[in-house]
Amino acid sequence: MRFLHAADVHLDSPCSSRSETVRQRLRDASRLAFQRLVDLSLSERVDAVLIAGDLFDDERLSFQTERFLLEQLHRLDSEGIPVVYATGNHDPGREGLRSLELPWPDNVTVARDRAPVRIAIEGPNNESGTPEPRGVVTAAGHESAAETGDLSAVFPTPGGRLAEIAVLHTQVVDSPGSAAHQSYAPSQLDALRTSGHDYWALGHVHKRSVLCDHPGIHYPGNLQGRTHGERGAKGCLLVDVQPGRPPDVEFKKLAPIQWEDLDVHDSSDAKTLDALLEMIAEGWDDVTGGETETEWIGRIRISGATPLWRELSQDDDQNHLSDELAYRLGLLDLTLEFGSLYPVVRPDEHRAREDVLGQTLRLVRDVSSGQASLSGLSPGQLIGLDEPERFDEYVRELLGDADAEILARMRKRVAEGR
Amino acid sequence: MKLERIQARAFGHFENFDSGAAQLGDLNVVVGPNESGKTTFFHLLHSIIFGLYPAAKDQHPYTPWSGRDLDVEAAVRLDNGEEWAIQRKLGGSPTARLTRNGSVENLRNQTLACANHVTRDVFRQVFALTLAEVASLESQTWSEIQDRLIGGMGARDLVPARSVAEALETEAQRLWRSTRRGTQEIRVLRERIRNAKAARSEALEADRILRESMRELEQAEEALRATRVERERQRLLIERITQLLPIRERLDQVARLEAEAGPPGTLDGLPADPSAERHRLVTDIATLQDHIKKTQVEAEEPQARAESFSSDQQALLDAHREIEEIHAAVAAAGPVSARLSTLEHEIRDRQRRITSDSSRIFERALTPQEEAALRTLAVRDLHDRVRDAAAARDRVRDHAVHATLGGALPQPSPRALGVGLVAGVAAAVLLLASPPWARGLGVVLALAASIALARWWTLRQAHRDGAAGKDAGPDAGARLTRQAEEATAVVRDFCSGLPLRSDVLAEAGSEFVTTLTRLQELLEEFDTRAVEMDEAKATLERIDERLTELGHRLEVELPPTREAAIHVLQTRLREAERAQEASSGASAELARLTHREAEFEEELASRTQTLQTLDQQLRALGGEDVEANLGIAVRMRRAGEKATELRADLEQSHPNLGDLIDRLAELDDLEEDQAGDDTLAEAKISVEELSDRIETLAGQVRDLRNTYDRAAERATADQIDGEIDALESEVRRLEREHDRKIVLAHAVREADHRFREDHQPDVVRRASSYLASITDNRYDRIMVGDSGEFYVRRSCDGAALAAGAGGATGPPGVREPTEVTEGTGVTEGTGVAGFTGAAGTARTTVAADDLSTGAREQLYLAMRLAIMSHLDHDRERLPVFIDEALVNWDGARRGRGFQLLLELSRTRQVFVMTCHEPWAEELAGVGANRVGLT
Repeated sequence: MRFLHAADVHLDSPCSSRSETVRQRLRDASRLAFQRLVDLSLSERVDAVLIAGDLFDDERLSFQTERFLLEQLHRLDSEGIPVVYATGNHDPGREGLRSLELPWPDNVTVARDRAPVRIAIEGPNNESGTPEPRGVVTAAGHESAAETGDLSAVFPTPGGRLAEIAVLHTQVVDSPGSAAHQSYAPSQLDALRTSGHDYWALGHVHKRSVLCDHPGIHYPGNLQGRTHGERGAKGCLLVDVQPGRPPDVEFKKLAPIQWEDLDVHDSSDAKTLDALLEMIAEGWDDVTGGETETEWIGRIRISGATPLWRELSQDDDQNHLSDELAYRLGLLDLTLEFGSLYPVVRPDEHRAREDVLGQTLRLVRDVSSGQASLSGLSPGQLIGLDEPERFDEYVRELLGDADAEILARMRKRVAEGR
Repeated sequence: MKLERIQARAFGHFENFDSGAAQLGDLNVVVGPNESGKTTFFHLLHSIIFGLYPAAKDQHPYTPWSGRDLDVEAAVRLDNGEEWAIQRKLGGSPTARLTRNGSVENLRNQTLACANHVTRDVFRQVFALTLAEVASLESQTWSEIQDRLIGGMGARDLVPARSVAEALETEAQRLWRSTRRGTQEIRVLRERIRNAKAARSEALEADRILRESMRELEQAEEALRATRVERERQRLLIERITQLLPIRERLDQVARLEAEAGPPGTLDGLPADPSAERHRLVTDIATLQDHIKKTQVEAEEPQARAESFSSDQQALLDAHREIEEIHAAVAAAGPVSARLSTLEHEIRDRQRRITSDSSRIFERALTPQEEAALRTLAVRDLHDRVRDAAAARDRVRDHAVHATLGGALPQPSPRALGVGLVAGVAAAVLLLASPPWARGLGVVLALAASIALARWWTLRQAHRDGAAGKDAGPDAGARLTRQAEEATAVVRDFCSGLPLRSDVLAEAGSEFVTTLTRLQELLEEFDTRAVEMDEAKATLERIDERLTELGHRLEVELPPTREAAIHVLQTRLREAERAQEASSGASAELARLTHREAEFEEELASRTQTLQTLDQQLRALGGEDVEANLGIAVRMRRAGEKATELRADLEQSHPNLGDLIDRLAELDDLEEDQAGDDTLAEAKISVEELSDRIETLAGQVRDLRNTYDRAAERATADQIDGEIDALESEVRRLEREHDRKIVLAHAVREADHRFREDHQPDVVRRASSYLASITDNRYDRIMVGDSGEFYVRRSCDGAALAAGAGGATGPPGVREPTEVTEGTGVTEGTGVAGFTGAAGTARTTVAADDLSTGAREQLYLAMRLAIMSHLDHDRERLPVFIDEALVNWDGARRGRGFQLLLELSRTRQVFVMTCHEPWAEELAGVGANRVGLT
């Protein structure tokens, strides 16, 4: 049986960007990725398309996107390609929610509750005029947005001669990347491995990962990255499963936009903005591998010692650098973040000074190490402190790399840019 | 540092000012009335130490009115005893020269190196005390001094900690502050988040409206569709009643006429008017038969003409090309005949010349064989033999001459040979080695030698030849004769085939050969012309033969001459051509008539056939009576034409006739064809109502579509959520940045606070001792609040204590000195943060602002003196200037103040400016040096 395995499409998911244009492009990209999924299904003539949950994002599914979704599914219907869709925590199937209300085409089977649904997948008619059986898909869905039970536990044990595929939106305990997701419908890897299925088409974890080769237990990752936390190529898996054999799994990139990060920790060699620009451009080329067909959203974080610390703290120079980088790198969007920037100085050499600077550096060191506290500072003065009991810890975090900044601010030669 | 002498050649209104050759003292009182230049004097000293500022002459406040360059000079002795001489000028640019230890340095406009530890501003603020300044040391001023003072302890490269903390706090407040004052980025972002959340609700509502609108739209469109169908049905009914039924009647009429016209195709092939057509055919047939007869008669005459052209004429025409060729040949034979005559004449001439030349060398006329031998004779070879024979004969004759003349020549002289040889050698020597004048002689000698030698050689040869002849003797003459005869025999043999005359042979020479050659040429010319003449004759004979043959063949009798014969042939040929042309015209006419007759025949057959067909068709309509059938056909045709006309009218008036016929068919199915006027009226009312309904529904659909479009254009919840996420993320980042700056500011402030706590008491203690000294321990301690404000501890009498003057407690945060300064009487304080009240029962704390003016001035003077001591501790001690600062003091305290200044002047030069002569005298009384200003 040959099918596409996708998950976590999150249509109409909020795309975090301050630019309305970029948000719109990401929204369109999410749709385009799904359209490419359908295109791929048609071009590859797959036997089925399996969607392991979170097809859309809560009640945000707008009317326009709903129409788009149904239109794409109708394309598959017109070609006789069945779709098996198991609901996830973001699109649960409980009554009153959107997944239940949609007028799904006939080729779509929605597994919207805990009771597994079994669907026989058939290919084109054979010589005798009857459809040729290709495999059996078993799917179960989330009824609510917070399923706590192990849905895989009630999947029936396969016994036929055909390929058996299971579709489930679950968090496999201790799987790579699972820590970044809330633990809904947790399942055990060993249980999946010994369930008798030839392939587990999973969803929930947005990072593409292989939990087991045989039987195949795969997370395809989401279809289109939405934030900087969802970096890398995104798409679906083209799977060919034969009973009792390891599946052939091939990743197909579908996302038109890709997120990537670049951290510039040490730019002490860049003496000018142009040199820094060049350094970043080279680093970015390493990140993207020079690929040009994808649109990129980049986050570049500059921090640490730099001779340009003063320029980079000026809005004008920051905007100039941001504009130049966006143009030079050809990015759809660029988030240029500046961490603690300080001149190329060595605070340790000044800590022993018998003056206010030395006194301040020693005090910061002592506070950071918990050996002293700032007597005049109270939790009420810190607006970013959510939990007052974390006050000391929070202050220590804030003072994490304060030495160089203090040195830069207090030394005349540095502060005045000499 | 001590200023020992000060000179100002030009500085303000000082012109050639000089403090005097005597050294200035440690304590100096500068006395002069108001406007006498005490302030100028202070700036003069300040400029000597720190340079001339502003550094532009046109901007400097002390540029003399005369426009002279500023020019000052001073002699200085440092604390270590070193002597410096400083000269500063300000013209186009500031210059300065420092002379020390015998060397001169260019200072440009720099501060003296020994004063670098105090900035100009600090010096002006601390070391120069005016009455106005000494009366207050404001909190901010004090703070700044503290920053410089404390921050400067061991590190002059630091930004004041207070400034750093304030900058951090300012930056943090730009992000957020507790009040709503000013623009705060975080508040702006939070406002945007609130707006976005409101917009999110609107977006969800818009989505709901969108879905609702779409449902309503679909319902409205469905209703619209149904209403339109109903209206169409009603319209159809009306249409049927008002339009379709008349059409039906007309269609029925058409159908009746079509039935009368018979089945389609019945009259196909019949003309529109069969009767007229039949009559026309009969008439045409008769006319055609008449035309045929006339054509046959007309063809007889050209027939006769065509037959008049004979075969003989045809033969002549066939030989037309041949006649033309012969005509051309006869024309070309004229020159040939003329040439033939010329050839005959030339042949006769050559024969005559051959006979003449032959008679000169031959014995008789040559036979043809001899002529042939002469033609082939190799005259060139004969010429060589004839020449040899002539030579042999010449030698015979020469021999005879030599024999006769032998011995008549002189002998070659040896002397001549010797002279020649000597002359030759001499000439060679002269030509090779002698100077130019001898070369001419050499040439002459060479010629003479050549002549002598040539003569000698010629005579020698002649004698040798003569000797040879003599030596041969009579045998040689015979031999030569024999040789001559043999050569002659060779010539004879060579011409053996020719009858040569013997005399010619005996003396054969070049003439003989020439004659033979000319004979050969004449024979060749004869032969050539003979051949050409034969060819001309043959040509003329061939022409004659062709004429004769052609005349026989054409059976034409020809005259004997060529020209006349060809003329006859050409004349006959032209006659034949004319006859042929006439015959050809007749044939064409005959052919045309024949063709015309054939056409008539064909037309006749066609008409006849058409008539027969028409009659058959007419008979097919009824009986054998053709005439009767003609009437039937006319009626059927008229019915068909009427039906066609009616249908055409219908189609023209109803372009959609096909659709109407279909609707009629549909109506037939509805079985409502009996509907009357009532039904029509009801249908019309129904259509109007339905149209109104449709208009309403269409408007509703439009409105719903607009609503849908507007709602679809709005941002969706996910888009707004994305914006909210981004904004919240930015808020979190800025909050953290705000907190980081706040924490850093606190850290800096706290470190600064601690540092001050550790170091500030030194200055305050020293100031306390100064104050106690001035006030005679009335005020014995100075304290500094957290904000830099000052307090003093005052000893109180009982009444004051009872009244609680100044209060028993002070504000929190006041710090006190921690040590007792020896000799000042100041009591040691607690040295801890927080004001704890006066130590002892007779002391109270008073805020500086609550002191009298004089006491406050004493406090600040004490502070300044202490700061000075702190600033240049272990460094060069700079002079201090006090300008009327003690004016508000009572006499006792002023006296103690003077004593204090005297005390101070032991370690630091002091200048006291005053316009009060008594005070100047009082100071002079304690040892002050007096400097007078006028």
